[in-house]
Amino acid sequence: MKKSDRRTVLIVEDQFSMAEALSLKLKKEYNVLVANDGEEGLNIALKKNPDLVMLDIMMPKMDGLTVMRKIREDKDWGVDVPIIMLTNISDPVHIAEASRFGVFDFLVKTDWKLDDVARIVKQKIDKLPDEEDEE
Amino acid sequence: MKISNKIIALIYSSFVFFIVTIFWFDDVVLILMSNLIVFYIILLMIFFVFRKQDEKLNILKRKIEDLTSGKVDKKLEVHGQDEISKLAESINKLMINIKSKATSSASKNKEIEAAKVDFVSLASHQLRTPLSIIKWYIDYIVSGDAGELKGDQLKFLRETYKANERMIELVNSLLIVSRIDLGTFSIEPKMTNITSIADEIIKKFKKEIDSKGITVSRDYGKLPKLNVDPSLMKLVFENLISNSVKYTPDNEIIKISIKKEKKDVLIKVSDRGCGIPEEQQPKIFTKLFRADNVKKIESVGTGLGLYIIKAIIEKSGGDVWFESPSKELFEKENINPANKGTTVFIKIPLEGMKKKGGTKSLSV
Repeated sequence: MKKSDRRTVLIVEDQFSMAEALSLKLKKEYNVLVANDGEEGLNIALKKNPDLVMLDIMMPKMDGLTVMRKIREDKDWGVDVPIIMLTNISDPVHIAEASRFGVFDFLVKTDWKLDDVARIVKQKIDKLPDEEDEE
Repeated sequence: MKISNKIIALIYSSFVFFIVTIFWFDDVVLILMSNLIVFYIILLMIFFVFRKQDEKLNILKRKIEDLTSGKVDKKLEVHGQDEISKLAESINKLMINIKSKATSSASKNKEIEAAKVDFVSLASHQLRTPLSIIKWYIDYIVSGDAGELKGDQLKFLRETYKANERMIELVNSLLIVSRIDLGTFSIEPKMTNITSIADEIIKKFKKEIDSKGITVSRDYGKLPKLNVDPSLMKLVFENLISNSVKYTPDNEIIKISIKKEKKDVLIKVSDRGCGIPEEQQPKIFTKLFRADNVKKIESVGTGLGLYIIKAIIEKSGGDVWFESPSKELFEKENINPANKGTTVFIKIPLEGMKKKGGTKSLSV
């Protein structure tokens, strides 16, 4: 597969080493973009319209749930882009809020192996319609 | 006016009256008669003075009784300038003081509780971040993505990974216990098949079970679905089965029985571990307690598992107890006294758990 044919994954995570580990794992198959705070994440998301967004919750400048809401406000791309929430604490209030916006993948980082996270990303991306069909 | 002054004034005025009557009347009988009348009037007045004081004293007494039982809301209504009225005024001031202190300490307590909740969730977030970083990097290296591993490197990394997993488990348990202690966790019952939860957890421990050559014998009766919180039941089975697997020696048996009784479902998990020493049995459900014999076998362990199980089951209207040595599995067998085993019994009422609101879930 040519690099330009690859799907793009955006990782929004304030912990540099966390984002780095994920990025190392995913960049073999996808173009990976990394943002280290919520605001930067939202800007990149709206500019580059990635095929999948991975969002941490507790982040400086803008928290992950706000980024998620703002992405969903984008009617062309953001309204149905797959989003995976990555977090360190499974707070039912956060989970309920995310599911209201059609986000059901709520992964507590300590519970998931890196391989399993990569597998979920792959499942989500494989479900996406082909780029040709979209056009 | 002071009570003693009132009485002195009355006696003094009767004396003055006596002198006046001596000079005023010539007749001794008249002098005596008028003085007698005045004497009685004064006696009557003294009686009224004392009765009034008596009433005030009674009010004071009742108020002090109220104070000792913690009622500080009503002001004392005693007017006047005498000692008792002044005492009442002092008591009123004392009550205002106590009341303001009580209100400020109640709001302080609330602040402390809120700080505790914040601390728990912040601390667990902060503790989990480095743990997940370690987990993911070891994952990355072990999977060979960072290059081929030589010699014992893989083995050492797997050991590191295991230690990190134990740390994650400990942080999770501490978070669960804090939520139990703070009462912030919610119970969300729904119709659940608890045997499939038991199976799911057995599957989760399959690696450990297989590596120790442990046989898990399952004995499930015909069970209705129960209205329980599945995430809480998962926690219960996780702690039960993890304990059994940890302490059962290689090539031994763990028996799990789940059966319907008249009003309850009875879960029994029996292992052939080292059992619980008799003298330490009363402490077994206390937080952070680990029996001496298990500390020798397995140095790691949180001492939180049974505490968590008990808290969940009792808050859900059920009951939990144990038997060690376990009669369940080994009654008729001639077994090594070191492996006398333990059976943990859990009763869950057929009507299930009651819904409870809360800000946090126990499934960390």
